[in-house]
Order: sequence, then structure tokens, then C-alpha cells
Amino acid sequence: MSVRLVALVGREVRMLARSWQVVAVYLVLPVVIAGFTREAFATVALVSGSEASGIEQAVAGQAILFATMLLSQLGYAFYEEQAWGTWDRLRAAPVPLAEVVGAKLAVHWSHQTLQSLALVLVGGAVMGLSVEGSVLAVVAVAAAFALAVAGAGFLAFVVSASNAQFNIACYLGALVVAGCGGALVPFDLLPSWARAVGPLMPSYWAMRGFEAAVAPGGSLAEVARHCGVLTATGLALGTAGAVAFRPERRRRSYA
Amino acid sequence: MSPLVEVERVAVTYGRGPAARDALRGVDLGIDAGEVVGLVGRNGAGKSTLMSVVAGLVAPVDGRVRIGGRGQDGSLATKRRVGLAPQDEGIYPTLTVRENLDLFVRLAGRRGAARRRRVEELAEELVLSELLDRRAGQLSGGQRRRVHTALAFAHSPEVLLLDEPTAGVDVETRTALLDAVRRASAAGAAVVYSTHHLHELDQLGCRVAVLDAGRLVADDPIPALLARYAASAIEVDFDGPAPGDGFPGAERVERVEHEAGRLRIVIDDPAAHLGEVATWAAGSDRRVLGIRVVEADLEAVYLRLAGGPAPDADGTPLLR
Repeated sequence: MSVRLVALVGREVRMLARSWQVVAVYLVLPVVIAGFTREAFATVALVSGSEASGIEQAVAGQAILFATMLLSQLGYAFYEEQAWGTWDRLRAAPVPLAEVVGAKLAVHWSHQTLQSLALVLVGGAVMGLSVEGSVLAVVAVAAAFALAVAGAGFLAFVVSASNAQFNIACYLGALVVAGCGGALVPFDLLPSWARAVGPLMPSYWAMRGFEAAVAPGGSLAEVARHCGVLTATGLALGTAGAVAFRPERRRRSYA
Repeated sequence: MSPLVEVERVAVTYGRGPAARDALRGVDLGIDAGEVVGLVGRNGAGKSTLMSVVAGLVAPVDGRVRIGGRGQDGSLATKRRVGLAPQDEGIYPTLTVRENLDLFVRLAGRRGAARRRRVEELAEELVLSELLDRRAGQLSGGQRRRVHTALAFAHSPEVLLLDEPTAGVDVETRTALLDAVRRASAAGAAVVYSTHHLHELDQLGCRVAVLDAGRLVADDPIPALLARYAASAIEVDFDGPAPGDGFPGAERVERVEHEAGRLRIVIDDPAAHLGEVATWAAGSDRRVLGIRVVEADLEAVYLRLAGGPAPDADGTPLLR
């Protein structure tokens, strides 16, 4: 990695660490909410004759919802630069803009991945979720889903004109995407229209990927399709964002 | 030999259609290595746009900019040669001063001991050594401005673009910034320094470029500007209308201006003629309220070139 990239990644990590309260809230809240949704997922699992206990779905659902909501942090990472006047500074600095953007996306992709994994870990400790399949497969799904989210986040930033717009798109999008994928309530309980659009949502593939990864016999091969869909989605959205990106565009922002 | 920075017929237009606004209209400017050019003009005259074009942040619709003979194409090669401190402050408030400086020194590719040494040098140069471990967001306005300017120096650029670096700062900060500009210039950097504090340009003894409505209306060293656009004078204030004529040394006077009770006698070396004029004024039938020598200064030049009413919508220049 180049000196520049190390510097940019270090800066992003440092800034994220200095808003640790936000990071902590995004870790605690999903566990609390999973406590409420756990019974609903367990009941549906029982009625549908699934082998799942419901805990893995409750935990995975919250991991997905909050990883999606973490988009707001990615948005802040871009909009803060505008508010602080450092964006033009970076544009004028001897560094390719692709590295500036790449460092942000890499750090926030890692953050989202780690948060999902931390939730699985905390979910395991607090609610008795055990990974009977493959830990590596869980990591793969978390990483692939985070990639899809990061791609969507970058595209949302590129098309938004202000961080207010970005936040609305982010939270609304997170709820719709998570809801239609079965992360908020069991997929089988969703209205028919939501079940129809569900497979178009990254959350759908992430939910199924998590379930397959933690279930007995779960392996990388079991989640390959899920990860493939999620990775392709992330790359497609990210590429669309890169094509539409106008670095000189002025955006309304507040720090 | 060509100047280090060559700005040729640069035109910039913001917006499209009926909302389009010309920010620069065919500006030509050359800056040599080691030279400081003071850029002045009213708000909206195009100073910041010109700096952005030289820095490669704004693409001109016409004309071109060359840095060291190479076209400003926004490439890394040209970015390495240019350091910009934009008008609006641009620092990371959640990072310490050291982390802010360190980031931009690293972006310039320095590592290890050289990197640490450069951070210390920058801190010393901009009087930030005592503040290195404080969060930038906790600093005073003047201290933040020094950090902001220091970031432009981080990679030791050959071309420094400082857009109103002393806006809202105290005397200590202004002195530190002007010293830093002098040192950079002495080390061979071409500096473009925009300001509304004209006395700073006097202190820097630099060439002055005046922008008005996107056009360069003057570009000369200060003595040449003063000779061309401003004149020294003796001003006499009377209680009532000023007498029309009859003062001594009429043949040496360039011109006489009346303004209510004030008589302005434009003359070479006014101090030498002060006694003569005072005697004449005291002997007139009007009571004299005051008499003083008014030296030609940059402010007079500025007011003449760019201080009038706002230009017409079509950008008619204000050269009078």
C-alpha cells in the first residue's frame, strides 16, 4: 500500500474512532432490538417447520438493518469534507482522488463487516446463537453484504445534493431494503408485494446467506451464490457511482 | 525565460443558459519563481476563481494555465508543484494540529524521519509548535488560519496560492504568515497572495494585480502603480467653500480638485510645499480647519481601479 493510501486510511480510522459513541450505539441497539424480534422469528420458524431456532434470523436481521443504517457514517465521511472545507484541499493535494474515495470506502466497508461480525459474536454471547456451520462463511457473507451497502452508499452520496437528502435516502432506504429482505420481520410474514420484490434486495441474499452459514453444514460453498449476488450488486452500484461522480460538484453540508 | 506560472487568456463561466456568469474574462498573468504577486479586487472580482484555475480545481472555458511549462491538467505532476490555501478554512477539526500537518506531508510522499522533520518545520514556520497536540477544532480563529495556511506549504510547492490568508487574524498571526510568505519566496516559490488588506502588499513589496469583474485591470510593481494611478497631494479644509485659485506655485501643481470645503492640490513632493500652501491658506479670507499631506498609496490605486460602483451586468470594466 502506498504512503498516501496508508495516510488516508489512517485518517479515516482515526476520525471514526473519535466518534466511538456512534459506533457503540450501532452495536448496542441491534442487540436490544433482536431481543424483541427473537420470539417472532422463533415462532415462525416453528410453524414453518424450519430447523432454525429464530435466534440466528433475529440477529442476522438486526445485523443487516444496522449495517445498512451505517451508510449514514459513510455519508458523513464525504459530507464532513465538504463542511470542513477539506474536500477542495484534497482535490488540490498531490493525491489521486480515487485513493481518497477508495480509502473512505475501504474503511467503511471494513467497519460494516466488523459490525455485522461483532453482532453475531455479541448475539452468540447474549442470546445463545451458535455458529454450527462455518465462521468463514459468516465472514464472507458479512463482507459481501458490506460491499453491497458501501456501493449503494457511494452511489447515494454521488446523486445527493446535501447531507439532509443523503440521510433521508439512507434511513428510508435502509428500512425498505431491510424490510423487504426479511430482516425486520420474518420473510414469510411479509405482504405478497414485499415477498415479490424481496429477491431484488441485497438484504434478502444476506439473510439467507447468514442462515446458511450458521446452520449445521454451512460452508463457503453453501454461501457462494449469496456472496456472488451481493458482491456483484456492490460492484455494480459502486461502478455506477464512480461513473456519475463529479468531484467539483458543490453540496450543501453541515458538520 | 518563461515565467513559472503562465496564465493565458483564461476565461471561466459558472452556470449555463440565462444564469451563466462570467467569472474570468481573458486574464493574462505571469509569475516568476521567487516572485510574490498580490491579487486584489472586490468580492466576486474573480480572485478565488483565478487561484482555483491555477490549482487545477476549475477548468477554464477558454485559455490555459501552464506551470513550469507544463499545462495544468490536474495531474499529480502539476499538483505536486502547487500548494493552495483556499479562502474558506479547510482543516480537520477532530484531528490534532500534528495529525493535520502529518496527513498532508504524508500525501506528499514523505515518510519516516523526513516526514516528522517536515511536520516540525511547518509548525515552527507558522508558529504552531506549542499547539501540535491540540485538536484543531479547539483552536482560536487565528491559530486555525495558521494551520490552514501551513497545509498549503506541506509539500514544499514551487507555486503557493494563498487566498486571503490573513482574513480575520490578529497581528501576531499576520506577522507570522507574512514572514512565511517572504521565506517561501526567498526559497524560490512563486506566490499568489490575495488580500483586502492592502498594507500587507506594501509590506511584501510585491507586484500587484488588480482584478475587476473578471478582468485584469492592472499588473505592476507598487511604485509603478502609484505613479500611474495615484498621486500625492496637500488637502486643505476650509470653513465654507474653498477659494478657487490664487495659491502659490501654480506652475508646479498637477491639478486642483474642489470638494465642498476641501481643496485638494495634487503636486509632486507635497511635504516640500506644505509651508507655502499653509501660508497662502492662512492669508485667504476663509478660516482654515486643517491642512495635511496625503501620500499616494495602494488604497488610492485600488479605489481608482476597482473601488467604484458594481460593474454592469455585461461586465463592463471599471477602468477610469
